[in-house]
Amino acid sequence: MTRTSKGLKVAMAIISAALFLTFSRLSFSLLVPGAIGIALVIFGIVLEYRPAAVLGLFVSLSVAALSIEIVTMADVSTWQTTMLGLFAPTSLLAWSAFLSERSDSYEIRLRTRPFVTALVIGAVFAVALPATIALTNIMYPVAGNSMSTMAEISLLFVIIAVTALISIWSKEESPSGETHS
Amino acid sequence: MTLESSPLGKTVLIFCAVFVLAAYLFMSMSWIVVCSGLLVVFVYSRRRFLEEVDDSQIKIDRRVLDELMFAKEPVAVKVEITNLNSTALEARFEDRVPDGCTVASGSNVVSAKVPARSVWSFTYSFVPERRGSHVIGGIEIEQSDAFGLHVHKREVHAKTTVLVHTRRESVSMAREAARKEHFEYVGVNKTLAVVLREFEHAGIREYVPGDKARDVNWKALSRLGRLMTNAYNKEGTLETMVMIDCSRSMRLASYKVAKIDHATDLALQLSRALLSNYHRTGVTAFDETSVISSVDPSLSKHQFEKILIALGEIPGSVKVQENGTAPDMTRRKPPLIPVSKDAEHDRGEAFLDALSDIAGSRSIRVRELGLEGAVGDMILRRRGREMLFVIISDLVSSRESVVSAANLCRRTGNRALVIQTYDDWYSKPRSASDLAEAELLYSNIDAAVGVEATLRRSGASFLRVGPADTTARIVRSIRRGVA
Repeated sequence: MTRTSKGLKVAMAIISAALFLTFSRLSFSLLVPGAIGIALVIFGIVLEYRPAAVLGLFVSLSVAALSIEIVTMADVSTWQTTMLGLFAPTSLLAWSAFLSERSDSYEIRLRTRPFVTALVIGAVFAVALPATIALTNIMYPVAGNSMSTMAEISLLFVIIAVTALISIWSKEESPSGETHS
Repeated sequence: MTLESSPLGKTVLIFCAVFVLAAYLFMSMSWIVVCSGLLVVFVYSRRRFLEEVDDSQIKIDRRVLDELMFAKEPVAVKVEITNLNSTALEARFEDRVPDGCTVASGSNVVSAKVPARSVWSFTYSFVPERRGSHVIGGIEIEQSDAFGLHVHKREVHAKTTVLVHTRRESVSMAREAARKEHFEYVGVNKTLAVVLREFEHAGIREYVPGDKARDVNWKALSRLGRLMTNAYNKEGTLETMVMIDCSRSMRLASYKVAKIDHATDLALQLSRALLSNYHRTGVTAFDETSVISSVDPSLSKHQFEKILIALGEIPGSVKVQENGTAPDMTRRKPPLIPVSKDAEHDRGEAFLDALSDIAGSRSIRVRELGLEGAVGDMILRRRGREMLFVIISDLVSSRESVVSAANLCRRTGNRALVIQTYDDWYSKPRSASDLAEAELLYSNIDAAVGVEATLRRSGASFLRVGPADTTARIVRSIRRGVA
């Protein structure tokens, strides 16, 4: 179990912004809202005001999605861009923004099992498309290495939705331990 | 265990859906990647929160700070929350105030952060509007996760029953009545502790170790060759039981003063006056079928406190609705499984069979219920000692049982004093100029006089009272022989 603090959250937001900038091709018209979004996130974290951070998060994510053009994940270069330039910074920025109101470093700590679950979902997302293409090639060698963008979007959507739902519902019910006298 | 998504959590999910639509619309995978990133955080926060809720151990202790509670006066409540976890608990706590009560000071809803392994408390007060027992329900705990995406609500069932008396003046009036009024019922009493003066020689009996030497009949010793003791009937105060009718008609309140509230006040003040005059006094509250609370007659130091507690258990009044109909006061529960007509018929037959079995068996003595049962039980336990039963009733729902209790008292050599809280005097004043109303009032008083005559024939004393009648007036009426 590790602990996090306000400084770490600000650092996460800045790293995310840097990753977005590195992998995107931002025009000036997108740079301004993107900068405002990141500023709002940092502002929310510093002032422990979640609405500002969440607003900034959605603005930043929209700008990032618009500025990073990904047509396929079948190539290694685009896969790398997707994971490092969009997926990882999105998760980090969301994590920082949602936690903005909790200042107590003791409270905000990573729990092992949920963290592992989140990593598994991320891993499934990362390997889903290459694995599907590999499987398809083994089963049907004539199918080729490419899928249409529509098919890739649908496949990823189904896989991430199913994985998320399984992760949510797999937790067994257990009574909470409250007593009264 | 169920978690709900908070408004922010729902917003995130909506944004995810919008991002998916955008992915199809712009034919770009970036949107689905962003959506996936958000979903990963959402799942992580949910799993983390589930673990936190699973691990949480809370102990809740609620205390009512006042010893005596009165209607329309604030009752202070202290709630202590002990967080047994190694992490702090940040939640919103809502203590469920009883129905019909309003929060007076402080707040029953608080948001707090309880540090790890520590106790945190909050205090508030509420004002009960009426007398009776009030139940403070559970405590609702609403906890949100660190990410603000999920909410978990749970209720800790920590019920506390608060017994509320009518008003504070009632107790002070009881003290005043005890100081001023001389209320004494004298009869044959064999309890030496309350003997006032010797009455008459009742005969001689076998000596029992412990008898005083002065009571030994020495002449009988020489005549019979064994120790005999003189027995006396002694005049003393009677053991008294104040019986309060809590039946349906008593509980209905159609105007300012509810009969049950007035009866409770009278019982409180009469028992205080009786105790101050060395009457061993107890109280019993009964309804149509059962005894609600009871305190045996005694002269112990804390007898009045016991009576006060027993009277607090008497159910509160129920307002008659505007259209004149009475609300449903029964405690029926709906059947868990829908009952078919056949099943109902079978159950009816089984019930009738059981009844015929009881009726057919001579050896089984059916225990009487309500007032008769309580009076019979008390007489049996007193083994022939004369008692006084003060029965406060409106003689509507419990008319038959009061009459039969009075008959039982006469047959067993006990005394009964019936104080009728006359129904019409507690109702909204009717227009006497209206012929139908006047006839109704006349027929009511005619019926009441009939019941009074029946009770007097049974040897019971009788007094009809209204909401304005005080204990002092009742005691004086009894002393003047009006009853």
